[in-house]
Amino acid sequence: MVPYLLLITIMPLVGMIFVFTAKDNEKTKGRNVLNVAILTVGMNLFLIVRALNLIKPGYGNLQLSESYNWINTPQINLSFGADSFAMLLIFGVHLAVLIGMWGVRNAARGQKPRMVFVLLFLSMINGFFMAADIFSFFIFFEALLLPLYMMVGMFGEARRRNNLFRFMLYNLCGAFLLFAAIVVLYNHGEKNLLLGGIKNLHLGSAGETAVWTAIFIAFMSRIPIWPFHSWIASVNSGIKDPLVFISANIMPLTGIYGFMRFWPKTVPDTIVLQVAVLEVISVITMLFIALIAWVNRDIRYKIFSFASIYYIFFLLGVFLPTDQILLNVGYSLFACLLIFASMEVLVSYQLSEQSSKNLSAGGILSSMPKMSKAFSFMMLAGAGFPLSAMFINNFVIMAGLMNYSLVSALAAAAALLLISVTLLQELYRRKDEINPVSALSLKDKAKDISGGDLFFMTAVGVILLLSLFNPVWFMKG
Amino acid sequence: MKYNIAAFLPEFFLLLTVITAILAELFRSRATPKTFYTIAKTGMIAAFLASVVFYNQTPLPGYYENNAHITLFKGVVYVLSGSCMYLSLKWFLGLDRPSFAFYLLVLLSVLFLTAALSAVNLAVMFAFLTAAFALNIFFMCLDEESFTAARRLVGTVLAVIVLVIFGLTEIYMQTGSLNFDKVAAMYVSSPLNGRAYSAGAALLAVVFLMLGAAPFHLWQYETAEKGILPAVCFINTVPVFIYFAVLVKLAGSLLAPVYMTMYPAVLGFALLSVAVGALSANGESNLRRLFVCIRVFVVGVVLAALGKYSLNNVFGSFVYLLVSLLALIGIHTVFYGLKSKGVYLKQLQSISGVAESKPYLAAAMLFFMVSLLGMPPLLGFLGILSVTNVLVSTGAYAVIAAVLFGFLVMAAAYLRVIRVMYFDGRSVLFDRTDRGIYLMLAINIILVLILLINPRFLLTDIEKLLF
Repeated sequence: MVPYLLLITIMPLVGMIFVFTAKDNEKTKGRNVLNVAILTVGMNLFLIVRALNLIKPGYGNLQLSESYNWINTPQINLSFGADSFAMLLIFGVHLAVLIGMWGVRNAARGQKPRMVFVLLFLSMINGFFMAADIFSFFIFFEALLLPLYMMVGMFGEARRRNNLFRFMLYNLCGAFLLFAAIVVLYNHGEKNLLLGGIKNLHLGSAGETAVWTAIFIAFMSRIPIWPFHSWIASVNSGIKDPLVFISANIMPLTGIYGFMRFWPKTVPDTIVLQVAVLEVISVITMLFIALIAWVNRDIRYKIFSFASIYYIFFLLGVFLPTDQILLNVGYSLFACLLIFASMEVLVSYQLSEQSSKNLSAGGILSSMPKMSKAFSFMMLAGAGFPLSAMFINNFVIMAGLMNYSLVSALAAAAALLLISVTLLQELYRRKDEINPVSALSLKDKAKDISGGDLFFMTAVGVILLLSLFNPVWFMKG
Repeated sequence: MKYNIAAFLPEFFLLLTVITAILAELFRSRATPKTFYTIAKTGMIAAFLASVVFYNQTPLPGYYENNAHITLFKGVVYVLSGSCMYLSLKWFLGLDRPSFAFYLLVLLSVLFLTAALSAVNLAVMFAFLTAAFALNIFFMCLDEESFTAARRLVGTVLAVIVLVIFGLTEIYMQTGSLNFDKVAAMYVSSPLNGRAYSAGAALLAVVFLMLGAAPFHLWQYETAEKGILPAVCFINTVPVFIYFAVLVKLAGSLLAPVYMTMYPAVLGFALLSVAVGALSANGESNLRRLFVCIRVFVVGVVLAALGKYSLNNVFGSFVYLLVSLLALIGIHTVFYGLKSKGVYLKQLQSISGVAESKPYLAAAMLFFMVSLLGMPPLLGFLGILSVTNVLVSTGAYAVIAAVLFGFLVMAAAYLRVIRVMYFDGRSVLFDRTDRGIYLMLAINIILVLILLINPRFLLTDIEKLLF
């Protein structure tokens, strides 16, 4: 049997080695490394689609299981397994990264380190989504941090490096807590404990509280939730490189996924309080971020807010005591990833035009018809119009939330509404023709995207539209 | 009998190499660093092979013996010394400086350290250990700049000698012998009196001092800062293994009752080392002193993992020490490649932006530092895992919390170095790096990757050798 899951994890690593050793000089201008990276992602997408077609749709039943003995003392295996939810996320992340690569294809410098670290990140996140036991899960959970730190440090805003430093330490703190919890679980339960088996362990009241609190903080550290949301916001919204911005904003997904795999559906009495606290904090944070996005003029901050609010919304969905809704979360997440990645790439282009030609954002799209079409589609899809899987599935998640807690659901709905309004407002501002374009000379006008760019964005739009009608259109049956 | 004498061959080869090097210095008119390196390398390989062949032969029962466990440590020391010597050749050739004294000191140091490990008599063991430690003074005399460090080291060595003499005399007065069997019997059979305890504690303190555990770590800073790079690389890495092996020997059998009584103090030293190493690393701008801080931290974690002494604890701490020293050697190798206008760089700020012009060196440094941080999937993760696992199995949760917090503080120091190397702009023009440096880095990384992909070599096979 072909070890698809191992191959999907290793493929980006192999690509990374090729990229690292590829020639990159003034003459090649990063073309070599970009081509190798795109080829790697493309090949992995092929493997992912193949794997998706081998598994039965559903959540929780890990299939295509593979296990590799790594260490005998203490006995640790690297175990992989995937359900359609995990594969859907991997598929979405790959497409988002591919969109990001498209966005940086003309980057003047640093193509090699950018591609090296993004492929490393991709490999680790694949392993993370497919990890089937606690140690494999932890290994990839922590290993993700390094490529992200390197990418954001090298391509993020220099003024915000202190925040990045704190953010990284905070994440490492979470990772060490998870590590301690996992070693305790390992020593109390059977060796190579599978993710589904954690809820069956009984550690005693004090042990349970300590272990679950550690796990709770570890996953919280990845999500832009109060009190540490400002570090993440400061770091992520300051990134000007679209590929790095996309990678950094994929990171909170790992926290949500961690909760999804670890958190028991029947919450032990010892951690009821944490769940209640998390729910309140989540809802308040959603509203808070939505309000800041509304008043903030920085469009990158708005995109960051869009992604963050939806992540927290999905997190609330994850905590609902039913597995059924998780597939809806998966479908919606898939579309969300593609939308925010596309938005970022398009915005990045607009911002570079603005900065090089000293143009204001107001009405910039009026001289860029192709950009206007692509950008409008993405903004409308992001605002919740029926253009992607987010449309129907968000309603299902919201219905589930209402069934569970009406107040939380209403607050979450208000936040979603506010961020949608914010996106539409921004779209209007950029499309509104304040100064007639005809009055500007040709060199002063913003240059439109190419036909190739529009074709690429159309392809992404088609994928999103297909996901509206059938979120798993690429799967058999 | 024939075999027994042959078991002295490793020491004989080393001694022969020392004599050959002296003769070459005296009578060969054009003795270059390559000459001495070739002589030392040949002797080291011969000693290594001989020690493997006669791994379980005892040449002098009651005074000097070998077994698989000892041979493992000796093998590691030979290999590490060999790589240190190879790297130092590049340094001496690059600066066109005489190298005879350095190679002579390395050979003598290895001879003394390995002999100390095979000794089954306390006097013999500590005589060799003290002699090897005293050689650090001469390492410091290799350069005029480090004379002050040498003078200060004399005081430390004298303190060691006083402690050793006191410990050995007290034990001898109580047992009438310094053979391991008799000393162990004395400590096990009779109740622990104040004199026996203080004698044992003095000897353990000597080992802690040599290991560089806080609060006995201060001698290392000046040595690292002022010494020449080859000396620093050797002193910071190779002897640590032997000191650790000696500590295991003392704590596990000879001075076990003293060690058990001293355990709270040992734990105190361990946690103090973790705290001092981690905190001082964050305030350090000199690269070499920074890596002394890392060594102090590593020693602290090793002592914490050694705990109340059990075979599992020894194994866990050994794995951590081995992977950390592999990373430390890798980092020292990178130091050999960081040169500007012929001067080896020492300050953290001077290597800013190195990733731009020396991407492979920077990547190697990143690789080793992330490994030291214990971040998976690199080898350091196995180290931190071994340590945490033995601590959890002994229920030492408070120690785990302290050690993991130490790792977090240490992480801040590593991130600072990464930030300077990768995120800051270039401040100096770097010289061309010798291909030998890249070769050594590649070998180190390949070794680490092999151990990473198949950790059974490190974990299972070594466990079998140890126990």
